[in-house]
Amino acid sequence: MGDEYLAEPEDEVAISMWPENIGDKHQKQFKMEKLGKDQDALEDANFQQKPSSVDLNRLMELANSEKGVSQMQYFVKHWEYKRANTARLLKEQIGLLCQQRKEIEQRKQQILEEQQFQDESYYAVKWQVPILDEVYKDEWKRPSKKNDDLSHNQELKIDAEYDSISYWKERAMQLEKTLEASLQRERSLEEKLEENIKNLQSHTPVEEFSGMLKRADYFLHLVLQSAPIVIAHQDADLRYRFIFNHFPTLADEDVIGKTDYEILSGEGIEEMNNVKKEVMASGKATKREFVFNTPLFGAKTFVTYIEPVFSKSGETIGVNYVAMDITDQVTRREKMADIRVREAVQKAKETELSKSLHITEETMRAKQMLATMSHEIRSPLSGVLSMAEILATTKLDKEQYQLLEVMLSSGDLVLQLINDILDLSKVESGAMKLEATTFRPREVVKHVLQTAAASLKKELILEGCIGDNVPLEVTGDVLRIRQILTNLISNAVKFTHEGKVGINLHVLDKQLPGCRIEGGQLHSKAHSAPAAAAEHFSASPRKCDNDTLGCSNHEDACQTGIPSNDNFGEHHEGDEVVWLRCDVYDTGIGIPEKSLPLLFKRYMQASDDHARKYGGTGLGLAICKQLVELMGGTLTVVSKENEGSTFSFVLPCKIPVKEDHSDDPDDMPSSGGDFTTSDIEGSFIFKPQARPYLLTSGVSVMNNTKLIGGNQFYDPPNILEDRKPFSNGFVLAEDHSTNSASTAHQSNGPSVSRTNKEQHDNAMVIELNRQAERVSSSRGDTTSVSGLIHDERGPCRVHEEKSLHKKSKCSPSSNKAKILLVEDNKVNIMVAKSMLEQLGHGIDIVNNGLEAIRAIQKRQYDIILMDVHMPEMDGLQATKFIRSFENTGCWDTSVKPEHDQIIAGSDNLSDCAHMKKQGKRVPIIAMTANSFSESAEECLAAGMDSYISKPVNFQNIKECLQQYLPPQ
Amino acid sequence: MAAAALRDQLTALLSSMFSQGLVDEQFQQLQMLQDEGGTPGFVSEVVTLFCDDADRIINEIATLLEQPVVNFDKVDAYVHQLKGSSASVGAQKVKFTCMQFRQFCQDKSRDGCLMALAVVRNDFYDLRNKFQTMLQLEQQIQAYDPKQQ
Repeated sequence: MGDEYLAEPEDEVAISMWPENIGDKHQKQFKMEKLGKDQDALEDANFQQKPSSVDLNRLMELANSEKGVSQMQYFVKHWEYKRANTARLLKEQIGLLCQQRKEIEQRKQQILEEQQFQDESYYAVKWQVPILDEVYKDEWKRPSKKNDDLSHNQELKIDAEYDSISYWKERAMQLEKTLEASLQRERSLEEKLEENIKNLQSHTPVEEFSGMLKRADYFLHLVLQSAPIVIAHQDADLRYRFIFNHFPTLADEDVIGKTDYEILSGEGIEEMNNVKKEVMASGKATKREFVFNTPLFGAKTFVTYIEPVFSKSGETIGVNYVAMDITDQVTRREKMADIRVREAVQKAKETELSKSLHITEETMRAKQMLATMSHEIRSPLSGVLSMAEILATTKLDKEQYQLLEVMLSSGDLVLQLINDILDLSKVESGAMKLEATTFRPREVVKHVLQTAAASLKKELILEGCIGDNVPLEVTGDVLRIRQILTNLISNAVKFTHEGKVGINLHVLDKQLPGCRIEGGQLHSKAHSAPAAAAEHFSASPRKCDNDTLGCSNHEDACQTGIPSNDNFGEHHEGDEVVWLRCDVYDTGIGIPEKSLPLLFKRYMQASDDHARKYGGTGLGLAICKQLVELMGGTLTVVSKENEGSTFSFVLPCKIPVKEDHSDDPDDMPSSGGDFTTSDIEGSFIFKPQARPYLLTSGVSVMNNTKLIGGNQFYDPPNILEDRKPFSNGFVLAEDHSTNSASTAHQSNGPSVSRTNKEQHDNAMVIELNRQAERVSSSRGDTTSVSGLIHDERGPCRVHEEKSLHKKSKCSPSSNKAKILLVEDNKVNIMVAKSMLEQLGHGIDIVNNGLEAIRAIQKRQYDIILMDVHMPEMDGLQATKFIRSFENTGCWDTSVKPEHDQIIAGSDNLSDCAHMKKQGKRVPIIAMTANSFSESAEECLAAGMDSYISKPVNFQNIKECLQQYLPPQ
Repeated sequence: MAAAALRDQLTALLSSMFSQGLVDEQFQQLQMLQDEGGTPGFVSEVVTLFCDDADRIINEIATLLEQPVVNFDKVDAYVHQLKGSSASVGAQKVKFTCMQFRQFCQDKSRDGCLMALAVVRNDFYDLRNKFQTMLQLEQQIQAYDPKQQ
């Protein structure tokens, strides 16, 4: 306690100093931490010790509250304790002084006694002194030691001059001094005592209290210095009476005496005040979080402890609150909650996903199942059908034949359905792989039309129109494109009873060259716009075949493609992608608008009525759509009931890079085969021909004419005139100026292309007779002649195939034919070989496509039986090469170099020419295992003539050979 | 007489093979080819070839399936081959199991393939035994024939 007393003066100094210091500090802190406006809040009180910063009157009031009383009591106790302490100390002091006085008196007495003694007996006195000294020593201890020394010295001194007068004088004086010193001591003690008493008086309880309070305040500040809290007291009206705010934004003066409403505005204030009122009303402390969003300090969250303050009488006279900024914590907490929610959502999603995945898997499995089933059904079904077909060739009476017809058509339908299902499931399961091959769009369109024309049973005009700007060759999956076209065309044919069906092929966004031509040639417009074409043709009924033909020929001639233009495009675009737009239009029954959305759905037809009337599986369009989309294009339809429909698809196709056109065997100027390139033709028309006869010689004569025309002069109208006499039959208009075209290719100049463009016009009109069987006898002729011109072979082939049915009846192939068997399976080879030998045919066996090609290069075969799935080179590829060779006279150079070398080694240009002159198209029969990878369609598309499914049996091999081996 | 008994035995064997679905009409065709074409030993030749081939293929497949990483495409190709051979010979049951086998290959299921292999092997050995019996019978019959003639 004594220490405390000592410390007090220092404290007092500090207290007087600190308010300014702290104020400064706060200011600095505030700036450094940028806690600024937002931080504080609720109130703002600069912490200042000046009485003005708090409402002291209020403090007095508070002193009356329970708390205040208890605090007072504490203070009083404390003070009392201190006082007691002080009193004790004083008593001690007094005791000390008393003792000293006693000593002094004793001493005095002693001296006096000594004096007496000296008179009586010197020794006795002398004896006494030391004893006293010793007593003195014990009693006074240290403080008196000096005195002791002094007296001792003096005694020595005195000893020296003992008994003299001066000795006594001296001695008296010395004693006098000692007395004086002791008196002085007494005085000083008295003074001290007095002082202490004074001190006691000056330390009133009030001073004591305020000192304590200041110290508490000081410690409190020390502790709370950097705590982000606000402490405040508000009275019953919720006016601030005190506030501690570490990061104030307002001066105390602005806060004291005001309510929250007067200081702040915004979200949260109302709520806080309500809670405060509640607390006051209920008298229970509470802890709550308040979210504030005020202009003063922005969006903050405070956790606030509010407690009521009661007066002595138990009335609520205000509230205290402590608020702490927990904005960061709240943010974190909210983030956590958010994450948790997201986690939950994620989990839910995952569950959902796995569910749907499961469903998808199930669906896939079901589809796979369907596909497998279909596949398994297909094999026996094709057996049934082929047997039925064979049966049809036997001698039957009319009724039997009719029944058989029904059987066949139903069977075909089922087969078609199964094929469609397989295709669709292939596309959907992603098993459908697109192949990138280079093909000629013109050829594709033509072939599709030819095929359609071949099976045409109605009197319809089939026409094709290819935009001039369509590249000569593009890269894409020709099989699939063909499939789409075939599908659309057969649909169109199915639903069209009169009028026409056609294909328009042109390039999107490459209209410029086309426009130029159109500007020059009015007629061409009629072809580019189906509607216009329809008008045109509706004006020319079938009866005026010749006229119409001439007309259309003229148009064709005028508007056909310009090869150099294409080449020009090729050169400029490199392997650029072109968007080919293909419209398949008809003048058929159309599609009602409400059915359009269902059109591309599986198993959906425009109406049940249609399904009954026209049959079909309803899968065709779905497949088309899937295929087109698989290739990255779109399929759309425009239709008007009873007027017709137009199905359009847009496909991206790459233009293959071919810098050197002399690489292209088709463009080789070295052989007469030049004239066979008809890729540049822009349109074709296939018209139903009621004429029962055909001029078989027409073709050959015409070729001659054309040869002359092409080489020497070219005048389209003239040629057309020339052609007219033959046009009632099988008429082919060929390009007569390929030579100049190839010149143009070589020069590669755009200007050349323009000047040449008219010369490159060509037209091809093929009239097909659906009674083509009648002319089957002329087939051989036609083939041999048209061997020069591969494009003619297309239509010829149609005849061929048609006529073969007939032939199979009449020509049992007992003659020895040379057969090439391409098969890699030893067992299969053995069986097939044995069968073929038994049929009396000569047979060569090779084990893969490459070997087959080599064998063909060495000798000619009457028929090739080709396995599809083989190592090295499969049957499809080999067939493509063989067909390409047959068409162009040269082995394809666009194949792998090793193929190239092998082929080039055994074959040179003159061989080419030689082979070509023979011009024989070897029938290639596929032997399929009916598996996914070997669809019959692909075989046919690759250029095979037919297929027999494995295992090869005696019957089907025999029939096949009968069908395809030429009678000898 | 012995020859006739043997012939009966052979016929019984063949008909049991047919009725069990081990072989189908294609096999009949082969026999027909042999009988009509006057090429004695053709069936035996084909069957022997088939057995050797199939045995080899089955072993190849077994080796492939033992690899740590199974090349299912290769397995599939072998199974396809086997299927082709068995179809040609008319070994119907083997052909069917091959078809199932291919499904497993496409699913890339190793366990499925191993199972299918076991089935194929079993079917094939069964058939081979029958074939061998058949060929032995035929040989015995042939041995008698010249004597009779």
